[in-house]
Amino acid sequence: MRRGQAVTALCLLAVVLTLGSCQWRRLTVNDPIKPEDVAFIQPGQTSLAEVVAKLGAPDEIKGAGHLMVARYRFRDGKYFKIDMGRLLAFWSPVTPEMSMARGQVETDVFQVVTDSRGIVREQAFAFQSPATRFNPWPF
Amino acid sequence: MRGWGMVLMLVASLGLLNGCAFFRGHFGEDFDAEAIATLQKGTTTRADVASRFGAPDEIIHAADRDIFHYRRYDSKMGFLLVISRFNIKGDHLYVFFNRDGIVDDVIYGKRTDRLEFQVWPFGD
Repeated sequence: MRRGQAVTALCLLAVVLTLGSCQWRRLTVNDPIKPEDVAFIQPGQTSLAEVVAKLGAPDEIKGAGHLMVARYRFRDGKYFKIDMGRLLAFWSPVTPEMSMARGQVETDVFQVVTDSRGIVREQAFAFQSPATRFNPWPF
Repeated sequence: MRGWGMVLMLVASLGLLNGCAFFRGHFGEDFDAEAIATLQKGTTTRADVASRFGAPDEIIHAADRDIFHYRRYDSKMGFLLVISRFNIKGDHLYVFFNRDGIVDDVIYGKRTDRLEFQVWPFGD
């Protein structure tokens, strides 16, 4: 085996071992609702039935005096962990954990306020937290 | 030589299967679409609804109406070596009653039929 091939093989092994010490996890609750998905809603004109026909049944309905609030919840979470201690597992009798990990969950709520006749009065996204990404840096 | 390639591929496939897992979890009973279709506005009573679907998970009072809320959740998780994805979706049935306890409106949405086993955590 030539020296170049040996270096390539070692680099490949290092990449495989490093990838093997990483974890990528994803959690999704319901489908996200984007502003363009709700552009059809016109306060004072659109009914709750029309909203339900497009977006499906809400996750929650609450009363607020003579008004009704329908809420759609959705979440997207990403978790990334790298454990460099696993690299020692091949030649060490113990496998110490040397991990860095970070999880982020993006939570959002889209809510529609209707009057007693079921006509939309207001609509809003409640949180719109920033988009999540895979990032192991915990500091 | 070709035979050895096949053996290597088989071993690699078995190795991947060894680190592969699929999980499924439910919360609540699946809704019977035929039973939902029998709910008639202006006819069906609160007692009829309770006898067909059982006690609701939640009773809401909103805009001078009582609402029975039934819900169900389904989850699927795919796991392959160092990547995994866990998806959860919910179905909801709302039955609105007027002051006389007669069905006024029905809202039903089923998301769990679009729930998938996924492993790849990247992208949408």
